[in-house]
Amino acid sequence: MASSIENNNEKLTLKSSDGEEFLVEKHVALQSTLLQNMLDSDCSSADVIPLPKIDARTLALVLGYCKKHADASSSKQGELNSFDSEFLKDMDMGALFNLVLAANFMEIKGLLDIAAQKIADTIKDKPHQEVREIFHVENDYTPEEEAAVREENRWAFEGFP
Amino acid sequence: MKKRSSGRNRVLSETQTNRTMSRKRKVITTSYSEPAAVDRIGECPDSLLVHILSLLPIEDAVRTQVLSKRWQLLWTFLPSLLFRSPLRYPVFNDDDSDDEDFRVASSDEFAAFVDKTLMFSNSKVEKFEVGFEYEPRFASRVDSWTRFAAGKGVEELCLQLRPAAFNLHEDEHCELPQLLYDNSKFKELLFSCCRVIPKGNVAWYSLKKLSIGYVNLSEDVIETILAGSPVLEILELHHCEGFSCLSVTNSCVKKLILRDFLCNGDEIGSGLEISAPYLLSLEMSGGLGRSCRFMNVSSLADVVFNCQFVFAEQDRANDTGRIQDMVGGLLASLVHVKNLTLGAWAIEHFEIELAELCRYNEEQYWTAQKWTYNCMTLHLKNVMIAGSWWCCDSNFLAFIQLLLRNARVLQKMVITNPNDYRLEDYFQAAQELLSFPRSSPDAVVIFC
Repeated sequence: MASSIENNNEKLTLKSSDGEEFLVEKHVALQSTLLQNMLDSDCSSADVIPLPKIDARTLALVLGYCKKHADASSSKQGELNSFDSEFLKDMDMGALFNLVLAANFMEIKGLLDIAAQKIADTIKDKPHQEVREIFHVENDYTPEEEAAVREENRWAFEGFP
Repeated sequence: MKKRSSGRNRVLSETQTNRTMSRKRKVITTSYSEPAAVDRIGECPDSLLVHILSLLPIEDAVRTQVLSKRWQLLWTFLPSLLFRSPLRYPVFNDDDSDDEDFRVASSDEFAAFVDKTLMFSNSKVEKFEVGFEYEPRFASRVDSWTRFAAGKGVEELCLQLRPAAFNLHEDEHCELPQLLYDNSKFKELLFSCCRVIPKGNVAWYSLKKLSIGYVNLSEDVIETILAGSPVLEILELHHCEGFSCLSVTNSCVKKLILRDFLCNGDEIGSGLEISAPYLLSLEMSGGLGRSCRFMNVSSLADVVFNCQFVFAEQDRANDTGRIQDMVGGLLASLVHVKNLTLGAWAIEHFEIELAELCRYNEEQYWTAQKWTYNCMTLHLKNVMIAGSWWCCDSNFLAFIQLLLRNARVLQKMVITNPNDYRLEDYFQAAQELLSFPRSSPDAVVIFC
């Protein structure tokens, strides 16, 4: 009986890669499928949950998103949508990728979707060299290899004669 | 000359990149006592990159194969293959490397692009969509694409085969391949502009949502489809013809969406009878050229009616009579509806009808239609009025007056703000409206 009352106010502690600890209400944490599964499989909430791949700056953003979505009632979808678009506005690529990786790792579908969509929108219609720079991709094709890829797949690049 | 300028551009952009990078590091170092911002872009797992690719237009996703060796095959793992015309090819301008132009692929190029992409597909495909300008010579291609989709266990299939030529006869529309009718993987299906003629039973045992547009459907076909879709929840029909009775007795179907039910030559004057005892929600929008009558919709709780009535030209003289028929029929079937949303056009014609009624036989009408009258007085709780013409129209104000006077349990009437009328007209009308007596003590009128 007493434990169920406690459960309502239960908090858990998340630890970022750079050692900062975040105290999170349980209903906020449940936005993350990863944390939900950990809580379901009797992982004690007294434990500190380390998130070795997520730095404090990113984790703070992630938890801000989770809190907003956990607290908003479903009837406020319009408000959430504008929160979402404002949330990612002016975010640089590095931060955006950190966010998408964190959302992917913590399994927060809504956040993953909006952050991935933002990245996709950014690279849409960009020349390949710019896309390489955005993704920090080193072009490891030799010029001959790259030409061969293009030649073999001309249907994708130039259409059909 | 050209070479030099592009070289300069590159140097410039590198300097810019360096500058941004160093600025970013600095900010982060001051905020957190961390040696340097960890650049984690390179750590993206393939699955995440594929997810991002799946959010791009497919031709862009396919072209990322030139980025690097790692990216060469990533696009072949796309879980959703959405081919939507117009497909664009980049045009490389020599003189201006910054602005890439695009040209639109022809239908042949589109079809060949789909063929090639499917050939390379390496993974399970959940969603498959083709939307392009169809010509009869592509029939076998569509057949093979849908075979591919069925073979890959696709759950969402969308075929929008707009006729390339305006005058393509319906017989020349693509016939839906028979193998599609027996597929228990499908959860969502959307077809438009094709012929739906199942030769045997339909077995869509997992289907939740079905949308059919621009199709001539016989009552038998509808029955076969519904009989083979036991868990269907949402049914959408638009621009469909060929039936005068729609009977949805599946207990799972909760939402029916009807758009643009016009009448063709044979059907002038024919009504549409809809029976759906388990239906909770109904949305009607677009043009409506047939009178609709709802026979058995006892579970219906939400109705959005946003239609424009459309008649054949020669029929114009009977407009008022027909509109009265339609509106009367609709009203009579909406007895149990809790939430009714009416679009501007519908209201305007309710108003035409009611204007007639107000002038001639208002009380008689409502008494004769006791059922409807009871419905309004005893059940109507929320009214939303979306339109911008009302404030200058005394007939419409009479309609609102009638509603307010008779709807005894009305709670809320929301009226959207007109923006193409003079403010003084609006305020005057609003003031008049607010002065109408209300029979419901709880009724609130909200302007927004």
